[in-house]
Amino acid sequence: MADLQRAQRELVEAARQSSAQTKASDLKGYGREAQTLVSAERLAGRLTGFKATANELTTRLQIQDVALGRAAESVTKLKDELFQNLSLDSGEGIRAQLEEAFAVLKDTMNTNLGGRYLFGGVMNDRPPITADSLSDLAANPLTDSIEQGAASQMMRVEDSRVVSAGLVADDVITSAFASLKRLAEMDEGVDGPFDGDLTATQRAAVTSELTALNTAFDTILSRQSENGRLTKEVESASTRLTSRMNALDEAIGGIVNVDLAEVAVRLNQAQFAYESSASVFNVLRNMSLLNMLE
Amino acid sequence: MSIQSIMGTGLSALFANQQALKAVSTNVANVNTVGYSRLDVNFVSRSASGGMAGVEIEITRVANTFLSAAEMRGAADVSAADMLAQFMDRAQGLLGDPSDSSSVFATLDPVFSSFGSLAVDPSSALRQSSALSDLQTLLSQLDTTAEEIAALRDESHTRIVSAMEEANALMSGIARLNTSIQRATIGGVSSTEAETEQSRMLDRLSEIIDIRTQERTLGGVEVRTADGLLLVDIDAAVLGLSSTSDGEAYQGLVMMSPRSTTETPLESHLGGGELKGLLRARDHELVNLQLAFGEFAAGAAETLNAAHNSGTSVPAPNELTGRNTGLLATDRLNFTGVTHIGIVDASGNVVRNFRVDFNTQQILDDQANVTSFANSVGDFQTALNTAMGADGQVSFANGQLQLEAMAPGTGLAIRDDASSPAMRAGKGFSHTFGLNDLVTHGNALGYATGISGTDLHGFTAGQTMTFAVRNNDGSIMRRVDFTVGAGATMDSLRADLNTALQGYGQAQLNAEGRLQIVPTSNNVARIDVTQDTTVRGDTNMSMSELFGLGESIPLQRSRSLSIRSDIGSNPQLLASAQADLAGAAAGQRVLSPGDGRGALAIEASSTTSRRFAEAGGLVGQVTSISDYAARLAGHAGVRAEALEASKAAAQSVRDEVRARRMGEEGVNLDEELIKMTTYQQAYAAASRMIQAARDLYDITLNMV
Repeated sequence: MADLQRAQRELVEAARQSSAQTKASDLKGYGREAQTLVSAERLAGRLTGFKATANELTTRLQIQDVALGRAAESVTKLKDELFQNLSLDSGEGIRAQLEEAFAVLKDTMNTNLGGRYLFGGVMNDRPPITADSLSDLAANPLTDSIEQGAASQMMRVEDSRVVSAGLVADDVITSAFASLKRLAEMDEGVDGPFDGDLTATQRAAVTSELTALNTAFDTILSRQSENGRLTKEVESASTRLTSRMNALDEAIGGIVNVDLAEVAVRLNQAQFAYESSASVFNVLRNMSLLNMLE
Repeated sequence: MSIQSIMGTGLSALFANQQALKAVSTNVANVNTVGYSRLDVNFVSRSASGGMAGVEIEITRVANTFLSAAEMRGAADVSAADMLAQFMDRAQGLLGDPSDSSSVFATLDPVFSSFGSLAVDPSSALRQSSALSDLQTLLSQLDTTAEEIAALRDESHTRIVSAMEEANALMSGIARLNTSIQRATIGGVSSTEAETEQSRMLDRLSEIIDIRTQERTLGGVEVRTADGLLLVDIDAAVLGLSSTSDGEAYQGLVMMSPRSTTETPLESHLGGGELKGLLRARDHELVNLQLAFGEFAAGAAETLNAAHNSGTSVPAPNELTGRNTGLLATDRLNFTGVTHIGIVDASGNVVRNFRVDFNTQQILDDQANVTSFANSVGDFQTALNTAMGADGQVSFANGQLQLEAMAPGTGLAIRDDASSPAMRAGKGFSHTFGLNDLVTHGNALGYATGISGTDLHGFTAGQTMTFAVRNNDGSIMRRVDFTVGAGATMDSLRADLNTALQGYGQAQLNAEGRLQIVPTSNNVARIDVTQDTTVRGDTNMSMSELFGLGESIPLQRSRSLSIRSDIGSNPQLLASAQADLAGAAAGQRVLSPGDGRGALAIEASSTTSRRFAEAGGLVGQVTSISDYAARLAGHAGVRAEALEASKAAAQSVRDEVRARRMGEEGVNLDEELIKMTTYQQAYAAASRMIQAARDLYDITLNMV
């Protein structure tokens, strides 16, 4: 009878394992392996968190890349136009070109994602470019037009890996703004404005600013490539995280999941044990001297 | 010799076989009665005046006292193991399924992950409240789990009471049957029915208490505990709860011997049985789990607090109020290293910046003014207050340090130096005083006080405590009273404790200022505190609250943990940034709203190692909270598995003994059927005998 009950218990356990596909549903069921399991689950939890950060960071870096591309493009465009002015020896339209370049650069540096300024660094609650217009830029010191001293934001993408989440406007745009400021100052100053034929002073100034703008363009480009490198790094961290999570899932699966073939065999054995116990019981039931003593 | 005597002999055989058949029919009728001992029939030839004169019959119960004693012991062991296994099985179940997110350990991860996500956008109100809500889930889960373990202890206590009531009923029943068996024996009447009933009661009683029985000369049995305490003769003992209690969580178990009204403590006399198993679950296994869980919960809270104290919210809070540290103004500072305390304006720019060097005991401000202080908490507070002048105010009372920035819109930021951090008993400056805790608890969470042996202990001479010495089952073996002596230092307090504990335990003060009472005797498992009237100066903290002595206070640490109330109502106060105070001049910006390094530090704390004290069977270790969670889970799993295995082992021993006893005492139908046939034939033969005698009579009479 006791054998019959035990066989039944084993049958129920094997059936539970095959339907839930997990070995147990509490700590006791895993016994000694519970420690490994809980530890692996904690690590998996942490990795999921890092993965979420990395994904968010990738999106952000991609938006930054677009913004930097636009900034670089507007500097190139300004350069080309100024070159054209030089070759035509005309000051016409320079002011408008400067205004346009200023507007585009300000717009890109003040890119805003969910209320946070991407190029603000740790001071991301306010726009990094504070000058309202080109005249503002010309009238005030450069440091008043661009938020100063903000450090990059730091984020963790892996256990031991904290990356700086991109760039601060100050680093990207200062040299380009310096050129714009100098040209705008000239336009508004005694040597200005730019209209009609270029004066000799104006010609010299525009020529030297062309070189400066080249440097500014290189700066923006190198920042963009830095941004690209960071994107790559975060992406590869994300890939590593994914493969670590997969490996971990496999390890957890090794502990938690049951080998269905094994369970099937066990289920069979349990069934067999149950049936044989029952048949022994049946034989015993019919075995009695009573039959002989009629 | 006469024909008449042949007739008589035949008649005696008829009667005897009839009786034997009656015994057989009783046996067959009881074939399925649990605990029934079969009746055995002995034929004894009757002799009169030297000649044979028929047969008579004796009916006895086949009772094997050795096997029944063995089964009683087995039953007691099984019930004890069964109770323990049942309760620990349920207790480990409360910790949840380790492979899914419902377990209490799984609620740890989201907390750290949300702080990682907060670092991405530290001033986002959404992320702040999501971090807080994950933290709240963790704290409620800890509280609920701890409450359920406590409820299990209460339940084991209730079951102890009902088991005692059942035992009382059984014992008085056995005593009553003793009286009737005794009466039957004296009167020469059969008492087999009463004996069968009594044996059934004994079997059940042996499941509740580990008992030994002894035959009484006048019939019936005497019941004693395994160590010989009399429970039943013709009167029964009464079990119950002690009418006096002395501060312990549950009243002790007592026994009043038969015909006595004196209460004798019962715990130490129990060797097995349900009562023992329940007691062991209540006072040992579950307490151990509670203690380990308390250490885990406190560890989680302290891990978060340590990290949160390194950061500052943006804008910086106007006021920092510490927790009750249990420290007095006269206590020595015992800090090493350097900390920076800054007063900043609403934009995060430095107004005043103080570099506190505990090694040289000097405060250097941004104007190069130097204020020196002596090595005491009170003196440091005064010096810092002076140094801050009109910009800030520092007070220390009732164990709480409080800092306040006076000018409107200004706030306070504290950060330990990166290269030489301020440290006392493993904690930074802000953390030691709990100035910027994230998780709060009514009492201390950690017991590393930083008080050294030569420091003043701060308790008043004459204040008293009562220690309870508990054995390996968790039962109280002895109580020890302690009175705070005249000596003023911790070392003298420790020596006084050692004297009072009479070799049961020893008071030790470790390097981090934790006072522990370590059992030194083999059969002492823990030294508990049942009463404590000591108070440390104006802090309102007792010795057990300060150092976590005994069990009831440390195990409460998983209960009622909460998010600091002002942070709970204003998530902006989360210390998501870190102030760059080191070397910053007045006007320099040290706090920015987009700075997430404070949140990053909290995220990283899940893998930061800290010291966990020895608690409930888990050894003291230096590890991270994530690892400790895994070890606790492994410990609970293995413990429950081991208890289940020991139950199975006890069960198989009992089954074996029971099978043998059944074989010896039980009814075998085949045997009974053969006997029935034998007696039937003997009856027929005897009646044939009488027939023959009658024939003899007839022949004799015809002859006449």
